[in-house]
Amino acid sequence: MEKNIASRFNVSLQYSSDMLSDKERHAKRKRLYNGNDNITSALKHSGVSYLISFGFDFHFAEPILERVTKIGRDRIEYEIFNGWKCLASSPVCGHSVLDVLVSLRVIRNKK
Amino acid sequence: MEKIKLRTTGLERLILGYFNTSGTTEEPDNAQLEIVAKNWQESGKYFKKHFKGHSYSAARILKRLRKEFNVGFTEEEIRDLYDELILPDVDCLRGIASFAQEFSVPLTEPQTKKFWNNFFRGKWGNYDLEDAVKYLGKPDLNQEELNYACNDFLRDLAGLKVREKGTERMPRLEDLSALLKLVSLTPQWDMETAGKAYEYMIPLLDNPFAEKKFIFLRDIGVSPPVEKVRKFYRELFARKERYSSSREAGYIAESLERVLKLTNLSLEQRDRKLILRFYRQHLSSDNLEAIRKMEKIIGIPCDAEIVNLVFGDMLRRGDTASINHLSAELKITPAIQESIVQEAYRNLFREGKLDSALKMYLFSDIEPVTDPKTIEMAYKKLETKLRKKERSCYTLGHTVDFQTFGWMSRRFPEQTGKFVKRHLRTMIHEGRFPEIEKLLSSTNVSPEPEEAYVLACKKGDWKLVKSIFEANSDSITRLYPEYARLYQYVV
Repeated sequence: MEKNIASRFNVSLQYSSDMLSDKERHAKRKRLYNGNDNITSALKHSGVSYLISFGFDFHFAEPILERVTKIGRDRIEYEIFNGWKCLASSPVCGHSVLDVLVSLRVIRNKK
Repeated sequence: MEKIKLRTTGLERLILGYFNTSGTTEEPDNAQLEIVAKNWQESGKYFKKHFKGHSYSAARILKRLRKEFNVGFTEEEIRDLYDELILPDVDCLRGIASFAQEFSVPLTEPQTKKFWNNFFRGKWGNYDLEDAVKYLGKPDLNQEELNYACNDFLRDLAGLKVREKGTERMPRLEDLSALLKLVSLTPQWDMETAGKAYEYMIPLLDNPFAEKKFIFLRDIGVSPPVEKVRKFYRELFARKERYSSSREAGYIAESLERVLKLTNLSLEQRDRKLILRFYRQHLSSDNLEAIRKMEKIIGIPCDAEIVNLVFGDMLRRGDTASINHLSAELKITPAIQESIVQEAYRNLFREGKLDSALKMYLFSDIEPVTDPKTIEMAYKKLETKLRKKERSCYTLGHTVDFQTFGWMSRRFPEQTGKFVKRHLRTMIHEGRFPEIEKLLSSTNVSPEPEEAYVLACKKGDWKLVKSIFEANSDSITRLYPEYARLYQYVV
């Protein structure tokens, strides 16, 4: 049941790649798709498909949660979160990416 | 004639000017003071008559008269003035202090006694008391006088003391402590007044600044009036929201904790219902801290049954974000009942909250089952919202996400089509063409020929323009005359 719900989400994450050469960036991307950090590992564990992109102008330890979509039962993809539209007053701002993913029910909180 | 006038009315008027009641006392100039000094025998009487309540200014004037105009005052004269000064008013203290400092004439024993008697009947504070002790020494109060001063403080706490308007001052424990430090006797408290003070102060039980006063009353042996205290904390729960819900919940929890601590009471069995209602009203991810605090104070857990009721309430309101946040915090998966989801859909459609309806669908994976009338109502409500928001530059895309229109059109094509066609006209008049494109592509609605003609004009599809205009020239000319005139250039 858990896997079924989770598998209907798509997540876009943007990581920092400042000071990385093309080769290093490629290696980082590969590691992230293998579940290299806690966010990609949680997504991979829940069977959520995710897309990695790189940005040069930020230096956060956490990636930016760009977009989360969900495939509804009608097989149409709906956007349920957009980091660029997220207002400062939104409850998700100020929370970690994992918290937001949990609150969007993309992944489950560990009990 | 002139001389007589000056001595009878003019001189008095001059002195009156120094002590006017408006509070702005004139600083007398030298020429005036010279006249006063020269006629001191006469002016002294007026001075004595009018300086009451203005003792500070009076002391300053007398000081100038003595220093600058050599007017000599005997100790007797100064003591006479003290008699006029000793009134039940704080100002009398300041006056006496000023006089005592300036003229070094001590008060007689009866004057001192009278002073302290008046002092404790007036509006005194610890700073006044410290000053008075500095100039006059410690008050020599007997048991009866001490009892009066202390019980007068209780009367003040109980609201039994009449205060002048505009001079209201809450009695302070610091004042009483300052007095008790000066005397070796122990006051005999009037327990009836103390009880009245407790009752009078009950509305302040939740006020942190009043905490010390309740501890003081408890220490002197007052037992809290149980029923009134219970009524007070029960009203706390019924209080209408003054702040945002999160602040209110924290405030209630803190207040209840303070009330129970101060009164040493515990909640009764019948209060359980109130607490459960509180949990149901306030449980949310923002309020978890307040709820946990409440659980700790009263020992009634906010159990899974209540959490599910709260999830149900949130679901009915269509507040899926709150459910997500709360379930993430509590690590509890909400139970979703189809009947509640359908109720939520109905509520959301009635309020024109289409985005929330889509969120409900994505949250619950349950399709909305509703009658066409409800959907029509939803679109009408949305149109009203759009009309209201037009002035503050809100547009369709701001009010409802375009993906929502897509979702709606797949479920309710007829009603969505009607809404889109109706709203297209407004959007064309307002020139919102990028939005029109998004709306049409998300809903797959075919516009009416008149609107299709305008859109074809915008795209420059002249072949289409020609064919539509030939079939609908009358209605196009009537609805969009400016676009109709474009046709002559196309032909």
